[in-house]
Order: sequence, then C-alpha cells, then structure tokens
Amino acid sequence: MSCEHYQKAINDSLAAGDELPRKLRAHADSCSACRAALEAESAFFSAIDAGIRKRVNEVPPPGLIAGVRTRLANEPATRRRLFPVWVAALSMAAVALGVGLLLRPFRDPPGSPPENPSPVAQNIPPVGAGPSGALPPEKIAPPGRATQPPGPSITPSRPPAQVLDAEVLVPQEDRLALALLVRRLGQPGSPQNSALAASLLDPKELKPIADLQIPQLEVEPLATGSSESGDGER
Amino acid sequence: MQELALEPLNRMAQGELARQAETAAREREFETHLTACGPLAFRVARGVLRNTADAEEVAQEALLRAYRRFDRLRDPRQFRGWLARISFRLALDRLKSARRRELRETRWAAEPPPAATAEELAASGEFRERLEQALDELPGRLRIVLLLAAMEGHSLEEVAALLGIPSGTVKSRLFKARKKLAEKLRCLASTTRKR
Repeated sequence: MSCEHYQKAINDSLAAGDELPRKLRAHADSCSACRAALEAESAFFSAIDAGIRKRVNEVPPPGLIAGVRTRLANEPATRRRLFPVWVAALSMAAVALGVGLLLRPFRDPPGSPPENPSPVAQNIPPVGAGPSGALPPEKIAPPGRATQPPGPSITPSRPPAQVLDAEVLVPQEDRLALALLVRRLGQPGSPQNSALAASLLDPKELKPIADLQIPQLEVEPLATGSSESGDGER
Repeated sequence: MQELALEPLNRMAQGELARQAETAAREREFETHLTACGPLAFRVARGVLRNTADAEEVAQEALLRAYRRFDRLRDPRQFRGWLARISFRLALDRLKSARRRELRETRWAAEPPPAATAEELAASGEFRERLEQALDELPGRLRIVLLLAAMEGHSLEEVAALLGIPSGTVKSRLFKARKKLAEKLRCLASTTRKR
C-alpha cells in the first residue's frame, strides 16, 4: 500500500474518531511523510473538535430557565384573555337570538285565559256580541258576520311601543275601523293585536260612526253625435 | 331529593378536581424536564447560531413549544431528544432568516484576508469563522449529530437515544459530517490561498 493510501486511511480513521489502527500507526512511525500527515491531520481534527465543543458547550445564561418560567407564567394569562372573547361572542349571539325571539310576533295558545285584562279591554264588546257593549252591534259589525261567535276578549298584556306608534300613525277617525280590522284579521288573542285594538278602542275617544251618506247620482244619457260614435261603428 | 340534585354537581366537581390534578402533575413533570433539559436546548441552539443571545431566545422558545405540546409526547423519556430537535429546527429557521438579512446588509462587504494551509488555518484566528461557516453548510441530519456528539457527556449511544436512531447510524453520520467538514475547511483554505 502506498503512502497515499496510508494517508487516506489515516484521514478516514481520524474522521471517524476512532483510535488509529496498529498497522497505520506502525507505518507512520516508519514513514516521515505519513507521520507528518498524521500529525497535521490530528491537529486539524483536534482543532475542528475543539471549535465545535467550544461552540456547543457554552454555559447557558443564568436567566434561561427563569425566562422560560416567566414566559410560562404569562402563558395562561394569554389564554385567559382569549377565553372571554369567545364567551363574549357567544353571549352576544345569545342576546341577539333572545332579542329576535322577543321581537318576533308570538301567539297565545288557543283557549288560554287572558292575563290581567285591563279595564279598557273589558269594556270593549266582542264583535257581534249584542247591545250589551258600548256600541250597538250594527255599528261595528258587518251584517254578514253578525252571527259569528264572538272572538276572545282583547287582552292588552303589555302596552308596548307599537301601540304608541299606532296611535300616532292612525288618524282618530279611522281608529275604530282599524281596531275592528285587527280583531278580524289578526290572530285572536294575540297580545300585540289585542293591545293595539285596546288602545285604539279607548271608550273615551270612541265616537259612533255616522251612517254613510251617499248622494244620489244623477245619470244622464250621453248625447249622440256623429263625431263621437264614429269609432265603434263600421 | 337533595341528594339527587347534588349528585351531578359532585360529579362535575370531581371532574374538575381530576382535571386540575392532572394539569398540576403535568406541570410538575414539565418543570423537572425544564431544569434538566434547558441547557441542552440552549447548547443545540448555540451550536447552530453561534450567538449566545439568539441561542437563549431560541432555547426559550423551544422550551415553550415543548410545554405547549407536552400532551402530544407519547413517551416522556423521549423528551430530551424531542426538545433537541425542536431547538435545532428553531435555530435553523433563525439562522436562515439571519443569513438572509446578513446577505442583504453585507453584500458589498470586503472578503476576509486569506490563510495559507489547513494547518495554518487551524492555527489562525479566522479558523473559528471558517469552521462555523463550514458547519452551517452541513446538512441538518449530519450537523445535529455532530453538535450533539460534541456536547459534554454525550456518548454515541446517548446521541442515538436522543435522535431515536441506531448507534451505527450515528457513527456513520458522524464520520460523514467530520469528513465533509474537513473537506470544506480544506476547500476554504485552498480558495483563500489561490487569491
């Protein structure tokens, strides 16, 4: 084996970090060139090892673990901050849902007794109930519906803002008609409609509706002329 | 009636207590690992980054990540190797971004003065710089083996246990890493000699 091969073997052995084989050691002892190569390579790899060791074996700074502990202590705080955001979002969604449900028109179950009927509502006769009420039935009920069974009494369970809005929007002279319409077309027992009707049918403000007076129309035959009847005649 | 009503509450309280006890045990276990393995995370990062401040920061980040993912670790005995890999990857990422920044800033900077041979290079003051440059150019799988093996108290078997690979693989990677490192250093030396 030539010195070149020996030097390559020396290099490989040193690179592997193994102890130099006896055969190589013997050759290096007898060959000055290979001995010089061995010394140079040994110094070279020793320098490499020393450099790497110096690089990785530095003493950790004293604040390393303390810094981690500090950051760990702050870690739950960060999570706690996220939690209320999630809860707040859910709460807002729940509130929005609740408000939506409250604002939605709801109905009383059929046949349920009215809750806390107001004196105003008690004074209002049901449609077609007869002359016991404040208004004669012929004044408030259409003739075709006079025989229908009376609907449930109007129960304004709450005087909400819609009622006030209706008072503002509905002219005084149309309130009775609107109240009747609400009672006829609206759901019986609906608190909103009932409240609206009750507010509209305030007996203090109710006035009997006068009979509709339609003046007799005078019909006169059209004058026949050649210029006017030309379009339809051929 | 009251017992029936209280039973679910007791169950909930027991569940909460069990959860708290589990969290406390987990934190105690992690605290043990933190004290024992914190220096390893730092040294791995320091081996990659060559900068103590950066290495400290990366080591802290690695430990925090290990804490956050501690539940995912199936075998707690693998914590050291797991942490070493986390720290190594974080340090590599930091090094890449730092290198990009350095390239931008020193694109037109002057080259360092040349050295003569590998031996002279080893003896010279710039050897360390060359070595670190060569180390940085090593593939990651070779570099981490080299770094871990160079740490005090790490035998080949321990490096193998840390990385979860056979000892023979560690030995062969170590050999390749040192060979490549020597070649790179020689290449650097010859390059500088030609100039």
